[in-house]
Amino acid sequence: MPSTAETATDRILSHLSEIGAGRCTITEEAIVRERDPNMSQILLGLLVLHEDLAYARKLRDEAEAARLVTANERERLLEELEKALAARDQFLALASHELRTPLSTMTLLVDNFVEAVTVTESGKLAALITQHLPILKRQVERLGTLVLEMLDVSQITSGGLDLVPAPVDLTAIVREVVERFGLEIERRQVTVKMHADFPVVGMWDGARLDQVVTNLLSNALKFGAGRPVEISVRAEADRAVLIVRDCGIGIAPQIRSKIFGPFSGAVSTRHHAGLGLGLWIAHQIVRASGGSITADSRPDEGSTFTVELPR
Amino acid sequence: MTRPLMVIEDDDDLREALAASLAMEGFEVSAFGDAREALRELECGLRPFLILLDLMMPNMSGWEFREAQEADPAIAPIPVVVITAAHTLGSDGHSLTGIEVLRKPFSVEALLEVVGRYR
Repeated sequence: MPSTAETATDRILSHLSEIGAGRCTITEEAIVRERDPNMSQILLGLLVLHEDLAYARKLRDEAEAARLVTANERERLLEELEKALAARDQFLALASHELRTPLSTMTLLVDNFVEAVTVTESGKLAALITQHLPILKRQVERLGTLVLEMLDVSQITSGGLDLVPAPVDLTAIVREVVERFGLEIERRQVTVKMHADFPVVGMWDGARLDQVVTNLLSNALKFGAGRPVEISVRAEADRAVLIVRDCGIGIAPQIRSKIFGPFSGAVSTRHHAGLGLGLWIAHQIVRASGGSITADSRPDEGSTFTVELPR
Repeated sequence: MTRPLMVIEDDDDLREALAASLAMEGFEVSAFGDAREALRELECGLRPFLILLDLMMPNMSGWEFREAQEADPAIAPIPVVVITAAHTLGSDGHSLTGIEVLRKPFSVEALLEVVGRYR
């Protein structure tokens, strides 16, 4: 009957429309209950078609999601790479700048020596030597420190520090470092109070610990605004505690979390000499020694750095 | 009366080396480690024939010094030569257009050649 045929066609078209929209009201029960065997076959075919389409859609959605994840990951990696490249370029520019300043001083002084040796009488030459040689020595040390810091960066980034632990007295190291800074302390007219009265011995890499103390004291002098600096060493049950405290410009809260990172820019390199890597290197050394380093600071009140090392 | 040569450089050793090199050639040098102090001296009447100006300094940078100098008609005409190790001269919107630059490191010969042109 035409009306039945129309009804069957309408039903099929209705189901197809629903399947096209991702829905399906055909149930297995309805197929079993269907009296017309042809329609039963068609309904079964439509149900299979719906399930196949649903599966295909699922696969397509998963592929799309995977593509999106890959694209996002690629974008993230690209962003990280760009940041790393920018940090590298910034570091190279800073390193170049930092190397040029002592080179300028040395170039001028050597030129003066050459001029003095050629045309000046011996008395003036002797005066010049007395005046210029200490400066030349400081510049050589400064260049040496810069080169060592750059080598440390290379070593840390290419696989970490290779420490050589041996019995070491932290108190003795602190005393040596403070003594080494004697001229600098005098030049800056800063009082350095030392609370390190007893040996504090542990199994550490002495040269690297020296570097940690040097970096912390150097920063305390550099950012201490000429106010007193305190450095203390004490032994606790299973650890040694080193504290370096200054009353200087301090660290702004928003950059405090960055100060132990490399190329952090935590301190304006436009305003302060150095590669800005001292705290990062100190952190790497302390961490490789199984210890910790923390900073407590308030702007214009100063900073306190605490190093704890297992003994 | 001989007009001095002003040096503004925060690095103590470089400032001393510059001052010594220039003094050896007979220049009277007024050297400052802080641009603010140098600016105060200029505002108080110091009139150097040339200012050798570092850029990257604490307290007041070379760019900020230039801005302050240009804003004061009494000291704006004093010529400035920038001494820098920086790669780029622009910073924070400050421009140093038209300023002569002596890039670090430089020799005494190069220094004297530049200074001599302003004497």
